[in-house]
Amino acid sequence: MEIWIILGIVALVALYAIATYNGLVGRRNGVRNAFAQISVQLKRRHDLVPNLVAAVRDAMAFERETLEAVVAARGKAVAATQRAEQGGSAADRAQALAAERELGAGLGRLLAVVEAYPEIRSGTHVSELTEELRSTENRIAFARQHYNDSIQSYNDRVQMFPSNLIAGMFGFRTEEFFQVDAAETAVPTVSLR
Amino acid sequence: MARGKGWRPWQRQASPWARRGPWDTGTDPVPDEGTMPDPAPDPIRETEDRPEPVEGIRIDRTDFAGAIRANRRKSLAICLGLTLFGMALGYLVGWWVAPPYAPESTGTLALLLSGGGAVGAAVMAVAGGLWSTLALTTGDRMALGIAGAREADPVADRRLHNVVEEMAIAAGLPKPRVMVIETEMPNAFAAGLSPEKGTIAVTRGLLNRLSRDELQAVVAHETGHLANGDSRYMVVVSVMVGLIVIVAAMARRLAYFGGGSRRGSDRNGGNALALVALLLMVVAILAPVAAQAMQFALSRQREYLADATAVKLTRNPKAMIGALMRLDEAAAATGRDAPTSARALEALWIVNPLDGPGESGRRRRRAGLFSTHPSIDDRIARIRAMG
Repeated sequence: MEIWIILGIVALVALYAIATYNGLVGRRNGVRNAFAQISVQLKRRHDLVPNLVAAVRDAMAFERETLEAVVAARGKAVAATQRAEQGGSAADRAQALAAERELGAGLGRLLAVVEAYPEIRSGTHVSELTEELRSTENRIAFARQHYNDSIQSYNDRVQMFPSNLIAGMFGFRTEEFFQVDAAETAVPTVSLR
Repeated sequence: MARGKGWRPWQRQASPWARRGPWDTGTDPVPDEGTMPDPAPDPIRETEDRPEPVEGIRIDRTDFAGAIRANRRKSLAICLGLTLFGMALGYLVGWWVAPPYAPESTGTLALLLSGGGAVGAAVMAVAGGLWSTLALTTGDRMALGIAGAREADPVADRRLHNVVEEMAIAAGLPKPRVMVIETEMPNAFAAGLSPEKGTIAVTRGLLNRLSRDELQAVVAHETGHLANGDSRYMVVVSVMVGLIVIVAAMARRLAYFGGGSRRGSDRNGGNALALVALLLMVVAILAPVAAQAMQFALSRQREYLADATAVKLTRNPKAMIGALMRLDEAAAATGRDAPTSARALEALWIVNPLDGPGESGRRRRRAGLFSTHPSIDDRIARIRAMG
C-alpha cells in the first residue's frame, strides 16, 4: 500500500519537473524568436529607405542634410548589421545597435519633415511610403515590446519558486531586457524654415 | 432590453467629450504625430507625449496581468457554472420523464442514480459537446458571412493591413486574416477559434472616421479577443444557453400537460417525485432567464478583458478611450436603425451597435443584466484605473 503512495508521489514530482522544464524551454525559444522578429523588421526598414529617399529627393532639396544623414545612417546600419551577423562579437552587436539607433532618429526627423510639408505629403507615392515607414517604425517598437514581454515571462519562470529549482538544475539563466537610451526616446525636433 | 432610465440624450452635452464636433469623414481629425511609439514600455510616461484625443485622462494603475487573470477566472467559473446548471436541468427532466423506482430499502445514493436523472444529465452534456463542436467548426465563417465581410485589399487598405500586422507583432501572434465590411456604421469584430486562425473584420465607416492611433486601438482590442480565445468561450457558452432554453421550454410543456409516464407509476411516487415536480416547474421558468443573464455577464467580462489587452499591446490608453467614445457616438446616432446583420451579431462587435436611443428616445447609462456590452462609461473608467 505505502509503496503505491510513494510511487504516486514520485510520478507526480517527475511529471511536474517535465512540465516545468518544457515550459522553460518553450519560453526561452519564445525569447529567441521575439529577438529574431526585431531583426526582420530592421531589414524591412533598410529596404524601405532608398525608395523613400528617391521619392522625396526632388521635393525637398532644401532639407538636403536630413536626407543625406538618413542615407549615410542607412549605409552604416546595413554594414554594421552584416558584421554583427557574421562575426557576432559583443562589440559588433553594440555597434549595430548604435547604428540602428542613429538611423531610427534620422528617419524620425525625415518623417516629421515630410509631415510638415503638405505638398510633399499629398503625393500618392510619398504618402504610401510614409505610411510604410510609420508602420515599420511601429513594428520595430512592437517587436521590441514583445521581446521584452517574452523576456519577462521567461525570467519570471526562472526566478519564481518552485520553477526556479528546475531552472537552476538545468542551467536556465535570466535574459537582459532590451534597453533604449535617452537619445532615442527623445521626440525628433523639426526646424521649419 | 434593459434600458436604464433617468438619462436623456441632451444631458450628453454636459460630458467633457460631447463638445467635439461631428467627424469630418475621410481625414484624420486627430493629429497623427504620436505614431512612432516609444520603444520603452512605460505607459504612464508615454501618455504624456501622445496626441490628445481626450482631455484629462490618465492611467492610475497598470496591472494588466492581474486584470487579465481575474477576467479569465471569472469566465471559466461562468462557463463551468453554466454547464453544471444545464446538466442539473437535464437531471431534473430525466427524473420527471422516467421516475426512479424507489422501495424504502434502497439508500439515498441508489435513489439519486436510478431513474432517468443520470441519463438526462449525460444527454445534456453530450448534446452540448456535439453542438459546440459543430458551432466551433462553422461558426466564424457564418458570422463573417452574415456581416458581409470581404477580404481587405492589400493595396487599397494598406493602412489597415499594416495596423493589423503591427498588433500581431505586439501580441506575438501570426497575422490574422483582414476583412472589411462595407457599412457606414463604424464597428469591428474578431472571429476565429484559435489565435492562429483568427480573422479581424472592420467596417468601412470605422476606417473612414478613426485616426491611425484609434484604429490601432480597435484592432488591438480585436487582437486581444483572439489572443484570449474569447470566441471559443463564447461559442461554448451560447451553445449551453441555447440548450438550456430549449430543454426548459420542453420541460415547461411537460409539466403543463403532465409527465408522460408519471401517472402510470404512481405507486412509488411519494414525496421525492412531488419535490422533483415542484423543482422542475421553478427551474423551467427561471433557467432560461438565469442562463442568458450569465451569458451576458460573461460577454461583458470579455469586453473588459479585451480592452485591458488592447492597452497592454498599444501602451496607448488614450487612443483606446478616444476610439470607444467615437464608436459610442456613432452607435448613438444609428441605434435601433442598425442593419439586421448588426442585430444578429450584436454581441460580437466592439461596441453594441444597438445601444442607441431607441424608439423611446432614451439611452442607457449603465449596463443592465441583459446587456452584451458594459456601458462605455464603465469601460473607460476601467481603462483609466486599470486593475
